[in-house]
Amino acid sequence: MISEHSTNIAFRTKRGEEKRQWSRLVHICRTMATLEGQKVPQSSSASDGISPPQRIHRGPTDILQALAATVGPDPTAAHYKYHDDPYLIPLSNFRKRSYALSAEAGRKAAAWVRDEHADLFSMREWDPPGKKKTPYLNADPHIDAFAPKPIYNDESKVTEEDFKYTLNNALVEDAIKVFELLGGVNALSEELKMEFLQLLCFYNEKEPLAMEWLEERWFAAKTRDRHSATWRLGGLADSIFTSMEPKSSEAYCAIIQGMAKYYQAERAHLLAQEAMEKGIPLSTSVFNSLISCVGFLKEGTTLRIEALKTLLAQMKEQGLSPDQGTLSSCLKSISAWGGGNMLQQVALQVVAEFKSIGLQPGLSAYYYLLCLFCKERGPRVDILTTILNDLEKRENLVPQDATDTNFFITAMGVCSDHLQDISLAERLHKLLMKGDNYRLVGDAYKESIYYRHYITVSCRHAPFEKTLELLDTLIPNVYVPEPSVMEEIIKRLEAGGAGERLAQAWSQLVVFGHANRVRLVERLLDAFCNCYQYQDDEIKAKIRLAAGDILKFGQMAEEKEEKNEMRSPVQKLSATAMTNIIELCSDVTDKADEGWEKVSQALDRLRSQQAAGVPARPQVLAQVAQRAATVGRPTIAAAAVGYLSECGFEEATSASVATLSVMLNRSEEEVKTLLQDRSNLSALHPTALAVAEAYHEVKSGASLHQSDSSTSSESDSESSDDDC
Amino acid sequence: MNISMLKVIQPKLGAGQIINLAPILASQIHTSTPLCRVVSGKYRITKKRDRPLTYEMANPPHFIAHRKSWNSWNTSSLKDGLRRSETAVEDEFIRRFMTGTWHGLVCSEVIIKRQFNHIRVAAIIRRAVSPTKMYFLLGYTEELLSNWIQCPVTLELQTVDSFQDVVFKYI
Amino acid sequence: MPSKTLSGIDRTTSHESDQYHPDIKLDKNHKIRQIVLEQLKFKRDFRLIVRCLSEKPPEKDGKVPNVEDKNDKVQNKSNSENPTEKIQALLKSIMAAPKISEKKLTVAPERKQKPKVDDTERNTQKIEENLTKAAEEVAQAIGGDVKHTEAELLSKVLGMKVDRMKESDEGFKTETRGQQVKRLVERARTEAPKTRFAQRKEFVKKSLPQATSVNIFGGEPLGIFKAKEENYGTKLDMWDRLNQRELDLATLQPPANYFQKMIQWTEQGKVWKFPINNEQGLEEENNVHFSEHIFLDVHLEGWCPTRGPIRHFMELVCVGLSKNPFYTAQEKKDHIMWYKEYFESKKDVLLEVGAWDVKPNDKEANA
Repeated sequence: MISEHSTNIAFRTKRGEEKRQWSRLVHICRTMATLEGQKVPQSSSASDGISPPQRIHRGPTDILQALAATVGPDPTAAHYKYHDDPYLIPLSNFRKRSYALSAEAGRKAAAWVRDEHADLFSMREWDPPGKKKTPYLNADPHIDAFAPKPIYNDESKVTEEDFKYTLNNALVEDAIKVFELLGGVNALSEELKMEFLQLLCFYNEKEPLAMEWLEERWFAAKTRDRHSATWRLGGLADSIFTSMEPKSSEAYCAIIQGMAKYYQAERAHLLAQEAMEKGIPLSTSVFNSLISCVGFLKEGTTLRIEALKTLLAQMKEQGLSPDQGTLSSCLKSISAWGGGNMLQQVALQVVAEFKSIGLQPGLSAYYYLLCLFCKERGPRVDILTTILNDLEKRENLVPQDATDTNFFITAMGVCSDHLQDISLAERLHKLLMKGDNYRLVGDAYKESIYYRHYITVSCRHAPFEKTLELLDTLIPNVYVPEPSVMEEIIKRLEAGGAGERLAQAWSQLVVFGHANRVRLVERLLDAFCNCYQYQDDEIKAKIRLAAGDILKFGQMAEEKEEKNEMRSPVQKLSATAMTNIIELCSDVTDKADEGWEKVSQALDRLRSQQAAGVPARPQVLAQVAQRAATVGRPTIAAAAVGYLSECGFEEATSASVATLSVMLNRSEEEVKTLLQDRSNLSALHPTALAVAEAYHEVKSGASLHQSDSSTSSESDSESSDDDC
Repeated sequence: MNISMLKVIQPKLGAGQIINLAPILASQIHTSTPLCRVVSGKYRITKKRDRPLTYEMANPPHFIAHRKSWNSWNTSSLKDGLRRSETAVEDEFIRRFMTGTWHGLVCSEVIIKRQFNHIRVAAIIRRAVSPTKMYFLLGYTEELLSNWIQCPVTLELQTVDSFQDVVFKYI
Repeated sequence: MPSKTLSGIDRTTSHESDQYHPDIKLDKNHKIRQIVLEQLKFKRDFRLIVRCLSEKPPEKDGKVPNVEDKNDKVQNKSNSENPTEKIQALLKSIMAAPKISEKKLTVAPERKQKPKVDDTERNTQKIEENLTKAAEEVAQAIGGDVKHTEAELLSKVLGMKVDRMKESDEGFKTETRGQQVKRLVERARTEAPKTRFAQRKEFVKKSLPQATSVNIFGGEPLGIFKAKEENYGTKLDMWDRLNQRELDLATLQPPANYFQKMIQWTEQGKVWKFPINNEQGLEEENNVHFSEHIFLDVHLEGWCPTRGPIRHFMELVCVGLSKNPFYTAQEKKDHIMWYKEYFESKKDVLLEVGAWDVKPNDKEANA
């Protein structure tokens, strides 16, 4: 028909110029109007050089997909599923999970209301008003997604239609119910019975997760698939299978695959033998499933390998050709049997075998290979480079199997722990970000493990600037670091000397909900102290603020604990951490600076023994005492020296002398001589007196009683602070 | 309303008179509340000048499209627009559902925007409940409304700390 | 809690304008500190060397360090370090997991939101009891000065509480405290936190033995299969469908932007398809030619009078139906057929009136 048109037109074009224009129009109109939906052959290009482009058929989502491809990921925005409002954007892993799940819980509640009151939800609004049928409002097109779902119970009247509905929607429990209501095995046609058997075998008579609850699946911390026989012996599937007579090839295939899927290996193999003896044709997938559980039949590596080879040979005998699934189930079995050179060699042989018949390993095959070769404590083996070379060549990665989603996290784990290679990690990440590949990342759990590995390896081995860039793009919207990763990040920032970012790291700790983890906070304070002296003044101020805030946060947490608002007991910062805070906050020259308040608070905490252990660097306190005296905060100086002497540090002696010399504005020798005579001391200012007492306490290893008195005198001096 | 009023008047007048008077009555007695543009959609000033108004309330109707915008966005009131009454009723239903479900939280008018068969509902919400509860309500409202009116419904909420934040002026 | 902490963060980030006045004295302090630090560094390096030398035989502390410690009252530095280190490690583990001693306590099935004050007190007492017991055991296991070690352990765990409580004890307790502090300090010095420089060094040094590269395609084929035409055996439709469903589920992600959400809705059938097609939902009419919708007169043939009021009426019906976009062709036909039946049921009346059997030509011919 099309060629007729084109010849017609070609014929017409021969007559004169005026006709030509007209014929073009006709041609175009006709091709568009009458040939819509049919393929226009290449030959339609007319002699005048005009060739209308071929019509490309667009599916309903094609335009949307093209549009969606133009929207890149925005590292500054939270995921689209969260509401775009500062109050509603989650910033920690816990919140991400709870927000997404509560939204879905709300949806579920609404769906429940709809299903329970199905009679009320009969209104169908989107109806062209011209079509006045009865009932008046009658949606066209009818939207199934909004229709109430049927509820099946013992009273419901069911038909085969209902049964088909449950089968098509994989509603296992409903299907079983309807099956019983319909009257069991005898009431069904062979075809329906077959489908039902397959459904039961596939899910082992357990209800699968519904398609519409995305978040629940995304955040489900999947328990590892148990490699043990979970097949329901003597269940409905078994009884349907036995009731089928004669047993068709499909029935055998379904029941064997089901048993093998749930590791009922022996019976699966027995049934397969039986079927082969009876001459019933099986399928490639049956053999694939048999291969993946062959290890359950035999003990010992050699026997198992033999069994595997026998199965492959049987498959050949049956005239079945292998597919990608065969390869991955072979490797699955081999990798499940442990490690060792022999198994690795067999795995390589299998891969080569399949390569020779033109089958490329899929992602799951590579996943199993990685499991087999890159053992945690084994020698370092680099197969990832070859794998990446291969995968990068492919146009796009088409998921073949649910285990494909394990590949990327395992590979990233290998990059970070096994090979410790940042360039491989970057290549892998690029591959994941290519095209549509990101869906292979699996679920929230896997995603976060993936990024944990990625950031760890980057912190340890990437150049500093690159690491920063990575952190900026990933945190916090794509990934919120766990405490261990956070520590890794702090270490990296410390080694890079990035003071400003360290100061920011504290607010990140608070936001991510890690601020109660004492170890992390202490690590951060250490990092502060180690980097502090290299920083600009502006950044130093920021670090001081952060240190002061840490102190305040600890106090707030304790207050909360007293009010019983906290679930877990608050751990207290150690004395070393306190000293760090004191050191940082005391680095100010202004007497009225807020830092001194923090210093005195921290000292109070030290002296009232609210910090565990003793400070690792008492000399810091000595310096602080001196500095405080210089600035004109004698109370703080006295407190610092007092604490030193209480703990019995040697530094207390020199510190008290130095501090006193500053306080009294005399040289150290003079002070020393002054101190020799205890009788003179009473004339001193209370704060100076406290320092002097501290000196004596240390000198004489004085009793605790005296140290108590020193604290009391210190508290007295609080009031007279203004005088000096 | 007018007709019922007539019925009340009827017994007082003779049958003959009614025939004469009816057209006059109909044109002269206006029994429904006067909705003249001087007062409709405007708020009365209180003595103490303490009635809080949002920006939307503070601008009288004649500022629509100048200083403020419509509360319902749809094409049903265009020429040959479809589903005029249905749209109005649905919008009212959505507004009541919103204020009822987000009880005491909605601080602004509920804006309803329609694009093909997708309805977007926008509002300003007080931060009086935890984000988790808000997400629950979000999911619930979206799903229930979309099941009720048979089309996808999306909520687009903004939150404010308190009602004070949306007060434009006091009159 | 979030609002409070958030405001806290704001403060840390927003106070950028804090003035900072450098001072001469401070500079001095700085210098002093740097000198001290340098000295420390040297000391530490020296100590490191000493430690390396002394720690050469690591089996020693694996074997029986306790016995040695007992015998060696003269506390050689490296030797004294080992048990202390051990203690520290133990302490750390205790502090890191304070639950160890609580094990017996945590058996209680439900955790009350607000335990009574008495309870908490009793609990802490119990914990302390347990702790003291544990410390005693540990101290005995380590050997040496049992009481000494025990006190050390406890003081570390319970802060300085122990000393305070045993205030009236003999004087040597305070002595111990001083010693203990000193030792702690000593240890801390030898293990002082690495400076940036040292860390960098470590960072560079971290190179592992080269990984052996394995070519995964380099194996010898098994030689079982040969490439030939494909035969996958019996196909299970339902199984394949379910497999696909599980695969879709495994790779399904929450939509990441509005367009993806639209795609999801389209696939669920919730929104109109793009490009907008006003015949959506009328798929069954796709294969019906438009002429069947418009030229409905054919359905009048055979039963409708060729002229007269009924013919006129039915033609109007056809015109109306031909303009109706909502009915299917079949519905239009049924509509007309309904009239056919209606009129036929009223045939008697119509005949009487003369509206039915209007055959003007015939009549004229007859007449």
